[in-house]
Amino acid sequence: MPDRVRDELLVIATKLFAEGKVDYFLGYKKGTVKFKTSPLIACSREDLQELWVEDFFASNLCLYLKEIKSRVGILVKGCDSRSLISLLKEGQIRREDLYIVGLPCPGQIDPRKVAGATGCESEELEEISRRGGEILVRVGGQEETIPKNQAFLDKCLDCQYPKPLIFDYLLPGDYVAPVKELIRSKDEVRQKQAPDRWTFWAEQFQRCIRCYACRNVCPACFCPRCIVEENMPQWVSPLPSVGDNFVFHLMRLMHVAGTCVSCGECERVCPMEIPLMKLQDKMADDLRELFDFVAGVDLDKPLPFRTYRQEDPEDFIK
Amino acid sequence: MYRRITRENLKKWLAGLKAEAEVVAPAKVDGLFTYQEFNGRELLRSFQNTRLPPKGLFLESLRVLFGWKSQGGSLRVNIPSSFNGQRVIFGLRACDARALRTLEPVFRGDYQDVFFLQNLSRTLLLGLACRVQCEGSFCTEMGIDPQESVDFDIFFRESPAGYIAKVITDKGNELTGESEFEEASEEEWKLARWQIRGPREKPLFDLERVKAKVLESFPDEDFWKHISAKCINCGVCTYLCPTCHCFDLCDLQMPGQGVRCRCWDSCAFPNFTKMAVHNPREEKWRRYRQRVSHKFNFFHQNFQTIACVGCGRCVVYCPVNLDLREVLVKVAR
Repeated sequence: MPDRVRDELLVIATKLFAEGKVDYFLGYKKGTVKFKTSPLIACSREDLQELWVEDFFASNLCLYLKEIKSRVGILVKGCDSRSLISLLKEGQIRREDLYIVGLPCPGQIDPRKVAGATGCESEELEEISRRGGEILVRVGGQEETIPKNQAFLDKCLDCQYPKPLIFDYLLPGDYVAPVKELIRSKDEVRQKQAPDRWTFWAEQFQRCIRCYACRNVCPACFCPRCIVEENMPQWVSPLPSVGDNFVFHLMRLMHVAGTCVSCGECERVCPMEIPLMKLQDKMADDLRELFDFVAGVDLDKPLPFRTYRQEDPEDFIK
Repeated sequence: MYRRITRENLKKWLAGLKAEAEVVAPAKVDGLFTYQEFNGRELLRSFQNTRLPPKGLFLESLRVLFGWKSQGGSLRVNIPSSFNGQRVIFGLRACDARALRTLEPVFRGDYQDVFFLQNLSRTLLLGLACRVQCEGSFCTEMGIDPQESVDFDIFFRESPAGYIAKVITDKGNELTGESEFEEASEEEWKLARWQIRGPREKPLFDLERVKAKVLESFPDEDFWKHISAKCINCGVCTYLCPTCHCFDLCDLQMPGQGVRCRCWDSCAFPNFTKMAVHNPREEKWRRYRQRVSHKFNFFHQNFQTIACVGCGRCVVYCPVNLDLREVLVKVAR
């Protein structure tokens, strides 16, 4: 990321604090492990010195708006801005509390995909950087380049919203999709018959340890007390058995339907690498098809599961 | 006592053990390194460490403790058949083995936890020395040498021809006195020490200083608030940690019958200390302060050992890169 973007961001954020317009600024700082960027919750101008914009996993900062309810400046990529729209529609944040700074995104690199493309283990990757339109990878002292579309997160290959849909300020740069020909990655699981899909997901949920990283990192999961934490009655057992894991994940999926903007954070943070985005993508497709609705895009369009009209289709109710 | 064995013979030997014991070794399953029953043929060549620590083989993430059934006015309690088959785990790292030893006094204290202890006593621990410094790890700062450990029954170092094994316990000696192993010298053992890739020039922090300062910093609310601000209260650090051992009990009931199960719990969860009247750690910073203070001071006060082995899993897999190493460096300042 060019330094001028970082410098301009520092100027904007510093001004926001100097003018007393925000109590916090949400941005990024340098990660302390390979290929990671850390969120930065700046409370003062001094904290802003750590501001950094990097190429890897610039995560969705909107999650902190679940916690921070005062005036806040926030850095968003195009995809993140959809979370803002979702949260505004759900009445979780107020527009007047936000100062939104747009960040141009060249596409987010997924180290797991890079490892797959270069035929090595993720832990063997030494360095990943951008060189022109390609990605430069170093493994075991050897360098090789791979095309961008083999290195980016799946969601970046299908980027529909490179420019923030809501903002107060846009940082300089090109707000275009990172890959020219947008490729919707094919989900082979979806092509299978139901019993095979069940087997696939049963294997995945066998791995789930119920750490709730997926739920906690999700901006759409904003319930102050999650239903899995209720024990009078115990709706969902805390035991990480396959059955209970199924219930947790599918239930969470349904609960965030209409608010989930497919930011991909759930899949990124899962320590057991469960491909949760397959579920979210299916749900997003179903919403589009059944309700002509895409989450986090239109501030005025009513939420499908919060509104009711007489004319709503009922033919799927058997 | 030192022994030597070729790669092929090690595989043969482990496969041979399958006749009497459950043999477990690291494998790659669905892209993740994990401990799995050894298939007798493939032994993972290069890996840093498993995603989940081996603690799950001793303190299971889900275990049925007992069941009950009400029958005609009386209550029948059913205890599942004990896990007493012999087991061999190969490929453990020095950090994870130290973690198991750290857990032992917890489960062998005033109350003997039969579930954990049975698992421990029936298992032979075979370690594998590291060749690489794991990302995020700080084992050496925690006083652990990834290539030298007494926490195993047998500790293996890779050599050009296969492995040099340091036999530490009688159990280990019994098992390796057989054909596939040859006698080796201490010299060979020393020669098999690798130049670990990714070393650091100087230690990140002084552990003694951390231990002292963590107690001193306890009342510093602002410090703990600032440092824990980005935490999202999930259980990744606690569940991936080889020394974390908090658990929850959960009953599954139907009219007239039920089972009581044990599962992992996390002090990072907001409701961890929630009680009928009050939650003493309602705020995130209190939970994070407790986590660090417990591991680096309180646990030491109780058991004379730090409840952290510097394996680095929490550092690498934290969703928001809350780096414990950074925290410890700041605490020690």
